Amino acid sequence: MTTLLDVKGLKTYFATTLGEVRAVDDVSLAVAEGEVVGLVGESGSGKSVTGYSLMGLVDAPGRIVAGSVKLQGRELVGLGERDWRALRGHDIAMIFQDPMLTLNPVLRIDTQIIEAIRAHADVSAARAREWAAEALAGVGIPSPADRLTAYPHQFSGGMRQRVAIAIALLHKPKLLIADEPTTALDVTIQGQILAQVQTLATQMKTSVIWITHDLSVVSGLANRIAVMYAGRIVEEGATTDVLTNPAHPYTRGLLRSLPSQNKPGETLTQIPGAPPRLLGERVGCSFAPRCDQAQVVCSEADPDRTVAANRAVRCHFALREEVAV
Amino acid sequence: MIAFLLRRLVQSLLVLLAMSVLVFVGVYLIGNPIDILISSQADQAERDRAIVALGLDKSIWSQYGSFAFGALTGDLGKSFAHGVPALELIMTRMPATLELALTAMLIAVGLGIPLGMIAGLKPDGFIGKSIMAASILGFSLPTFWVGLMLIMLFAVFLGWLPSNGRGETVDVFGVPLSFLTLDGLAHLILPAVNLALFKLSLLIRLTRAGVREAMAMDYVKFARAKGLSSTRIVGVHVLKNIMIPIVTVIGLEFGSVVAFAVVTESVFAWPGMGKLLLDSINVLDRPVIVAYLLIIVSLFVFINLLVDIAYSALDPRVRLADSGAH
Ligand SMILES: Nc1ncnc2c1ncn2[C@@H]1O[C@H](COP(=O)(O)OP(=O)(O)OP(=O)(O)O)[C@@H](O)[C@H]1O
Ligand SMILES: [Mg+2]
Repeated sequence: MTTLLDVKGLKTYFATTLGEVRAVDDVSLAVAEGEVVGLVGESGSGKSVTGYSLMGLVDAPGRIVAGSVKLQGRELVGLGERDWRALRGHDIAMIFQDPMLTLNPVLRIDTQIIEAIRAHADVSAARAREWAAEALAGVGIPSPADRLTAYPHQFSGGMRQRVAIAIALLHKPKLLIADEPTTALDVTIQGQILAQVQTLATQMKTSVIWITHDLSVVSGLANRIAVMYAGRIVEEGATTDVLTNPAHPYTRGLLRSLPSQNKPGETLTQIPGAPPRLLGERVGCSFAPRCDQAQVVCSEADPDRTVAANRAVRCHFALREEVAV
Repeated sequence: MIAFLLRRLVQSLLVLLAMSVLVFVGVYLIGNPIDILISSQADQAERDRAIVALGLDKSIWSQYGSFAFGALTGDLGKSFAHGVPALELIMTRMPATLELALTAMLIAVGLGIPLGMIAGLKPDGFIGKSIMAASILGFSLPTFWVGLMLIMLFAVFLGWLPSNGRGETVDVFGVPLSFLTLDGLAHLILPAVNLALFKLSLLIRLTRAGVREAMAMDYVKFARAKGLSSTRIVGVHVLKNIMIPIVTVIGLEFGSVVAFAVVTESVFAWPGMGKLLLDSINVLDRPVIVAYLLIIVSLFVFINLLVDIAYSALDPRVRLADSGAH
């Protein structure tokens, strides 16, 4: 498979009054054409900021301080606003967590779709309308031509997320970054949206980075899973490998806290401790304070990214001795 | 819509009724206009004649009764001091005030929204910070003092602009207007700027706050993710959202600009309603005071109505039928 997106050593920091927040700290990730990658991690681990970095949407006080993001070999870090604009919505698209907030409440749906069409395609007004209706039909919105003149508040949350998906996929982007698009929706709608995106992405040969804090959401969707902790990808590999044979203690902790992995009645195991602060000097492994297998070396030396057998892990002990789940 | 308008009308009439009673009683309590209107040399017979002629011999409630009865037929009584109908007196002064207020509002909106947007988009830049610093001055300096300083600087010191009266006017449909002549326009500038300053500062701050809030919203991030130009994002997505509070404030503030033109009109000897009101209060010319306040209240009511209509046009989530409660 050919590599579509190649991220290497990406660092996105926020300058705050308390110091530099290392939201994304040395992230490396490759996405192949047509592949679905699940980016999993708890709240504050830097998933959204990673997504924004790939879209060139990091705002002050945030800044990409190091690293490279290549889309089909073309370097995106340091691109001018003009080039970014041509890329966004055309080559890379993004959908967000809360469909209630993603669409502009005072603009009609047709306005919001057609402006996105016209940002990248020079088409007549009539053709743009037609295209907009087709896009709505494509995400399963009934009587799309009539719904075009509605305002966002006339749609349910699930329908709004469908509209956002329709907009994101208008130009058949090469990459779709889905930032927890189903988190705010109820479970049945979640499943529908998930299936919809999967179908459309396959049809359009669009690669997807599906961001979520819920491993079970991506288990049936993603080809590969990247687990993020404290601004880093601590483990990355094929979905089945990661789920059946997790190499990083954090991944194991995540799996143990999943209801579906437990027998009924058994209490769920939670990962002890609180998420790390992203401020100040990084000393040792950031997961060490919460890790049940931590040794002296873990709080002294920062583990490197070790790659073996289609798996990349950041842990002093992973990939050397396999620990049973 | 009809039900909404009817409810509004009834509410307004109740407000007008309560207003007129309050003002009537208030002016009655302050003093007796006869003491001011009749010279102290006049004999008792002359005084009595004047009292009867003005209807001041009757009880306050019967005076109010005949006023209210007249008001229903559009007659707000005759000015004690001038002997002409109070309404007519006010109407001849109204164009001057409206012209001043409209010009001031135009300046405030025309400068306030763009400056506020610049300050909101670049809050940490030098220009953004300068705009905010200037708006703090505009907020905190008293209007009459700024008016005097403007006169000192531009009229006395530099001698560029006149500071007194309306200048040359042109009649348009019988309404005298200043801004159509060069001389009139020159006369209009200083008082209009003076009156605009406070509202300008208000609009700058309001717009800036709105822009900053909107720029941080997900719909702006999504609009950027679609690849839209920043002109379109700011000019359509952001502006349309911030226009909702701005239009409301513009409407409400226009009423207060008209009402508070009093200060500016007296500083610049602008012959508007505000100046008439001050003169009328000095001689306790009750019919004029009452008529003036009734007109101002009607103006507020009317503007509120326009604001509600504009509001529902701007915000698709608002329907007029639901907003009758304000
Ligand atoms: N504008 C900002 N200023 C300072 N710090 C920020 C800013 N935006 C994000 N961060 C920091 O970056 C870190 C990562 O945030 P991010 O939104 O990427 O987390 P996330 O993994 O998407 O979490 P969630 O699941 O809650 O969405 C957070 O710790 C946050 O404090
Ligand atoms: Mg997030």
